[in-house]
Amino acid sequence: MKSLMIEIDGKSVRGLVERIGGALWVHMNGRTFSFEPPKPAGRKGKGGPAAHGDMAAPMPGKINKVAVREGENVTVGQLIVVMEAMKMEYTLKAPVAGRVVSVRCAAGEQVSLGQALVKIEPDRNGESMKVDV
Amino acid sequence: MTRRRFRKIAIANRGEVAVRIIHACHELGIRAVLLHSEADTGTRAYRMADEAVCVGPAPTAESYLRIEANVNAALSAGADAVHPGFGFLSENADFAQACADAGLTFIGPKPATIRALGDKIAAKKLIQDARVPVVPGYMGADQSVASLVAEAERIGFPVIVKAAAGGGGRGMKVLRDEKEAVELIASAQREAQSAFGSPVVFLEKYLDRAKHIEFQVFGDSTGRCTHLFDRECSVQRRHQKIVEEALSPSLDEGLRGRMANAAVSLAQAAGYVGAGTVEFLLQDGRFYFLEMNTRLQVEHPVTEMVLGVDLVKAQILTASQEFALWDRAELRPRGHAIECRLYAEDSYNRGLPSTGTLGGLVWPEGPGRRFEVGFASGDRVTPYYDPMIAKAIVWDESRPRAIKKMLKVLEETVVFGVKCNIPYLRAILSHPEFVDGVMTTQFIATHFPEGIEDPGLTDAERRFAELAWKTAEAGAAPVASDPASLPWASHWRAV
Repeated sequence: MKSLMIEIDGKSVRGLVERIGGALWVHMNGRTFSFEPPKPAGRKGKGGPAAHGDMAAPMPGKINKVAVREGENVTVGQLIVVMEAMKMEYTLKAPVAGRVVSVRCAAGEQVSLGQALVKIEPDRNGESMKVDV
Repeated sequence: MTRRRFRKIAIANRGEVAVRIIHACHELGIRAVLLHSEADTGTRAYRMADEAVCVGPAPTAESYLRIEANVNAALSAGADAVHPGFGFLSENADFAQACADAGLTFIGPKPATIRALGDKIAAKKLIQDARVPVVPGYMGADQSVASLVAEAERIGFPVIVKAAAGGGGRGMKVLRDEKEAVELIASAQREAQSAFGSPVVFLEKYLDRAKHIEFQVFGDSTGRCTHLFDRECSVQRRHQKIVEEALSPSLDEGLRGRMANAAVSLAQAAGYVGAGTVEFLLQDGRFYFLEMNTRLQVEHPVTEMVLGVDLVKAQILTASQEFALWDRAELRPRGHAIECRLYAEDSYNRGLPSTGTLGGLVWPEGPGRRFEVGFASGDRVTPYYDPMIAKAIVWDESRPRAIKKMLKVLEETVVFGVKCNIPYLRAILSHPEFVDGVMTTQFIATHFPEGIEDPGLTDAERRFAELAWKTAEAGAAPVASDPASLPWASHWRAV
């Protein structure tokens, strides 16, 4: 961690900074944030929430229960996976109605952040909702 | 009973409470042995302890919850006594008994007391006999999901399901209707099994605008019990306390006295020895017994700050028969204390846990500020345990001043490397309902159901970060030497 003084518009601003991995952690004016510089153009990120039926682990943790099987039809809000992190249980519910096309986790398994868990092929006219964790 | 001064105490715990106990041991001239999991060698407690014995791999069921492994480790290190801290085996009567059987002093109440009070089902019966009001509920032996759902309907929704052997919010769920009750009860049983090794749960009517008020009680080795006033812990998320304070801003003298009497009579009836906490819910001027925790509480520092006592040293000296209760006249609360739990989680993403290696940390010391810290820079926050990094505690002469001080502390605290709930805590402490002291246990669910919104970076923050990044990229070269391309001055200073 370093203390840094930078002049912005003629005013001296002091902050604490530390580079960790690809991000710069900054503490200034009583607030902490991490800053990632914009990636060079041409490189694509992981993609946004376009594939609505792709359910990924929202945090690292352990899978306690997988409530669906491949081929099963699910409705919006139906319980799909129960996982545990830091001693708390989190339920992952279906964000879309549709058919489960793949299950890539099992009870007892440790998963990492963002790891694909279940893929649901959305119904053509299905509704969708915000995933409740 | 004879005095038996301890030479060495084994600590069956981790994190900031292990550090707290090590401090107490060292101040009393006692050596501290840390009983730890494989995952916890990169922690402050591990480095501060005089000795350390590994009790198993990272998952709690294979290390911190294993009675035999912990007893054997304490014996192998030649400890005289075991301090269980809070959570894990601290309220496990079998563990207390196993320690006693092995000739180790368990720093806490007797196994029979833990059995009678620590199990919330037994405790409720005891307190009913002592005529302390309880919330209507179900605490039967039939634990099938179907029966529990039927009982929940009888009590009337909303109903809360809780782990019989637990505390700290694990295994607790609110059931709002029959439909969701089935899944939530099963989930609560799994959480109870995972956190406490027993799937037994109980039900009670959910009070929807209650305050959480608890009384610190203490029994000495001569059999006398007293109380050390109250704490308010109404700010809870999913039944996990986040902000605690002493004393409660919600009690007048009469109510405080009645609740204290109820707490002490329960402790006395149970033959309580050591530190314990009697929790109540307070709604519409009436109080109901919630549970008794037969151990030290996470939030014990706020009591220590307003009374000028050391509860952990008192626990140790009680266990070694060297302590008689404080003089009642000396227990005069002064000023106000607040504790905030600093969790590794994302304030802007519904409080999702954040794990990883900690970067730089700043704990802004000052008058009336206290930090209980389990980690240092370079340590890893793992997904295996409670995500608490540290506790910040402040004391000041009045509640408004203590709130202001805590807000300053939260501004000045720095946690790099993992996300921390500081913005969330600042929003809570700034909320008019908290400032007025009228918050209930619904406070978080009502005002911060989705956490808080990410305000994004201000223009100044973005520009500062961009310029600082360029400086870092340049390898901290003397950037001011090229004023034409970099029209700003900078200097680096190691902190």
